[in-house]
Amino acid sequence: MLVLDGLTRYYGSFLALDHLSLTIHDGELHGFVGPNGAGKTTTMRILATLLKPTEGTATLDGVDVVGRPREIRRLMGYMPDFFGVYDRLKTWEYLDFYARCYGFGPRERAHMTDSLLELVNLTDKRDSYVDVLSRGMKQRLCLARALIHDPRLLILDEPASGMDPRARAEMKGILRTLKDMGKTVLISSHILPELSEMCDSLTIIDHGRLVFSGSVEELGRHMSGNAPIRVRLAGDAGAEAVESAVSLIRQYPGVTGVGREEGNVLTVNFEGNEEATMGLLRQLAGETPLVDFHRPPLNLEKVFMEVTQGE
Amino acid sequence: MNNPIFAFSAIRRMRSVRTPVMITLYSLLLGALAYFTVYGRFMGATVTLGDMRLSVDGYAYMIMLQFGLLVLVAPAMTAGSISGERERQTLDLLLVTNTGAVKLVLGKLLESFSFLALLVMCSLPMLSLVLITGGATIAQVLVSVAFLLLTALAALSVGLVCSSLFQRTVTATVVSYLAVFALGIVTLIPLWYDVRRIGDLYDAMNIVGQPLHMIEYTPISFTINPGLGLFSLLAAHTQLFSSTLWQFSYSLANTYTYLPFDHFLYCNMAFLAAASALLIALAAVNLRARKPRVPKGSKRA
Repeated sequence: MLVLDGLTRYYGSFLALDHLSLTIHDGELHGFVGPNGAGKTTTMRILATLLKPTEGTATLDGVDVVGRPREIRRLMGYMPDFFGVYDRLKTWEYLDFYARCYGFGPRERAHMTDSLLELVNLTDKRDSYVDVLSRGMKQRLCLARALIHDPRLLILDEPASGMDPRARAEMKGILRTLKDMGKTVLISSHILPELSEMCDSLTIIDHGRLVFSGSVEELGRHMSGNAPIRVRLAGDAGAEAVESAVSLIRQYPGVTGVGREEGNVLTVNFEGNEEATMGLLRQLAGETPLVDFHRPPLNLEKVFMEVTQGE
Repeated sequence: MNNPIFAFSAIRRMRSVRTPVMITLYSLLLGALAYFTVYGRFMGATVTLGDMRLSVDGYAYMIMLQFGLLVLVAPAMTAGSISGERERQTLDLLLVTNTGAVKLVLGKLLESFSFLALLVMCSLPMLSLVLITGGATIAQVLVSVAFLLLTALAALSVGLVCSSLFQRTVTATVVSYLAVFALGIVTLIPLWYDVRRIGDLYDAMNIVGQPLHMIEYTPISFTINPGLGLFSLLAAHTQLFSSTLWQFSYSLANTYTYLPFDHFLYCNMAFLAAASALLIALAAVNLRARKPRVPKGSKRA
């Protein structure tokens, strides 16, 4: 379990991270979302022991990230948002090098290098020089590097940035495999829909502050609870029938407004729990020429824009 | 040595085209010097005592040339070692492994050092000519090599510290060259004082009749200036410049014979080693993540 408590970081007088507290459970694929400059990379660099927080603590299974960095490095794999590779070094040597940095012996290394290349689909590039690999391949190789010491927690800072759709899909496949292996993954992105598809839980931060943290369903409920309901009446229904439907809806408790659109479509702003919604649907179905009644699926892009509004 | 940074930097260096070119150029330069100053003079000629004298000079020139080349090349070799990793965005990847700053810094330094050592090794056949023609002993040649290697190590350490201090390689390179040359020039300032002391020494000799307490008169600057270290080395091994001094002043040349150049040389080598160790430690400390302070005037929760 990864626990962040009041994590704060200044750069000079600029407050990049403002008392961020959140908990990530074991085996979770946790998305970390926010616009550019929200503090995602700062948080991840602190967790990766590369940066010290000004205040606050972070612990991984009770081990203090700031106080015991050597232990944390053994438990955590880190993939930065921007990284370079060495020239004049082959793909397998690249992994072999980092495996040696983690202190593995030659026998273990030979085995782990090959199995990691297989995991990230780079077996046929084993003897290619690293600097001539494509961007997507480099990113996969860097992910393999982060996995070398079989860490419990993976910190991936925008692993899919700059990838084409196919490479993204491959990356998602690899992440699913990692989740099946039981690893806890913290993955950041500035694109919410991308993460909500595959993550179990999400944290949204903006200007270094926590906006939302919880499961994807919770986020959906949280946001769609306020989304308007779209009601469509039969196309041949007369103006009179529509009028009576509107007045009927207006009288229903919890309705705060009704808007009319073309083609006999009404948008209903409604604050009520599921039971109240059910009642409204029943009444409408019984007394009006109802064709369709639904909450439009959550537009995550819109949600993201809403929750991360500029000050 | 179980240092991955060392091993893989070495692999990458040896794969570069620049490496064999550098080795070839270095050997060619020294070989040409050796040919014109030592070997060429002895080809099929009757050897006279004067020729022997010249062969010792050739040996001195070879050491001077190597000294110059090493000091010129070394700072640039390490100035990019850490800042280059930063610029290439690979430093973080190394720091999150448990390699540790000390191992990282040592690996980088020793890899550059081993390459310079290789260059110096390439010069051994040329230096050894003096063993055939006479003028220096094997022990002296080995001390010269040790001095050259220590100079290289110190210059590399300066580059390393600058590389750990500055974000960009260009800055690190410029500053490390400035630092090396400042060390060479600023430490010459006490020389004026030293020359006066040597004058006093000569007066004392005239009164007492024989040189006494030579060590007490050890010029301070000889012990920390690598250039004067080189001078002490050549003076101790080959009496270089003594004939020039003779023309300049009989008294100075007389004192020259009695000055403990060996002592200066070993003090100088000890200084180079100590300075290197200090700089390496400093470079390692620079790599540690620092805890930032809460800026003044900001509200604390």
